[in-house]
Amino acid sequence: MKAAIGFVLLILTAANVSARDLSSFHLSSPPQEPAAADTVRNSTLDEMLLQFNQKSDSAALPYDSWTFDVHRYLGYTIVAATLAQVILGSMTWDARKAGTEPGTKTAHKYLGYTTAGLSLAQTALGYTNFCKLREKELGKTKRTIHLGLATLATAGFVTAAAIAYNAREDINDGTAAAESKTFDDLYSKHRTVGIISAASVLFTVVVIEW
Amino acid sequence: MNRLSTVITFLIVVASFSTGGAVTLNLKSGVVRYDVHLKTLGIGGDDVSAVNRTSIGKMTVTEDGQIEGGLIIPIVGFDSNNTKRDKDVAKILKYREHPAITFEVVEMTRQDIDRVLGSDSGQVNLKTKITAAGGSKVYDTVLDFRSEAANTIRFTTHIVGKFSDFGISPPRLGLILKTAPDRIDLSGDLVFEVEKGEQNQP
Repeated sequence: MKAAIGFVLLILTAANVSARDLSSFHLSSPPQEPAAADTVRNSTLDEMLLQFNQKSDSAALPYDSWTFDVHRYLGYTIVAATLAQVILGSMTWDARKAGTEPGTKTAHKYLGYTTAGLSLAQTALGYTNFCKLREKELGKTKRTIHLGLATLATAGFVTAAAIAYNAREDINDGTAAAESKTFDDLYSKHRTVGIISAASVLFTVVVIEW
Repeated sequence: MNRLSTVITFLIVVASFSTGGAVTLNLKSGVVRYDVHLKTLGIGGDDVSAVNRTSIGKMTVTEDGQIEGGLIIPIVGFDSNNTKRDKDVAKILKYREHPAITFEVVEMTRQDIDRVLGSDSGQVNLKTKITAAGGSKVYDTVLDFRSEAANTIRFTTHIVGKFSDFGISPPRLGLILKTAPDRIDLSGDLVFEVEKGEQNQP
């Protein structure tokens, strides 16, 4: 439980740091009337502008797409789900270690599947967005690190879910008892992989928002 | 090498005028940059800047000393290393209706034009009109120039403008968290290629 509280504090610190970063501009009041334009015509510039405006991508922001908006908000959802998972997982672990039946087991299980599913969708969107921005040199290192960490997190979530599923199957089949496997034997890898994935989620958000 | 390139450039200019043609400056490469200083809760703060390497430029000096054409700076080309901020800036600049910022020379003496085209390096004063987000403003500015190689001239300039010059309110983040004063610094570092040619060919 202490580990979970520590992790939450780490997340909150990181969120505070990223909030300090200027991430967006907003208008503080309605636009004023523009200053008077010079009336002298520059026909060459007019023709250049005409040609420029006829280009289909002249006003197309490479990141002005629903895939970026969905990716952003899905990312925040996954961070929240991960936080909840860390707390639930920690509570489940502590209860098991104390030899009691954890009340958080079912919630942890289904939220885990949800988080893994959302992460898969998020990673697919992330790869799409990465490809859309492939021409953009500035920030490419940051985006590549973000992609790598997110891929690691998603792979970790799926792996953690698979480990937990197999452990449950072993317990149900009686294999675990036959092999004298302890709770630690069955779930320590699940826990380790889960923590690494959660940390990757945190850092991938910090990297891209920084 | 610089002196040689200046001589070549000068000869091209002389030859162009003597044959009745215009001199055209085509943008070869360059960076346009903006800098905005944001204050956090009215004190200190961050410097935000973005660079744009996607400008299109062509200026023709006609026989009578007029300068036609200018610089087109696509708004979507600004990169501040923060895609969300770039998107917000593009919206503030009304990029859908006005996808580019334009820069044109509205007043420059013939003497200064000859100096730019015929000297190794120096400074000239000019009036330039910047159009952004549907608003325009004429600025007095100082242009530094330097011959780089044969037929190329590097121009650098720095203009201190205001958001309100273009009908834009200074940006802010949150209600009072981060605010910008009504000031935007624009700077350009542009390399143009000089060529002899007919005027009014965009």
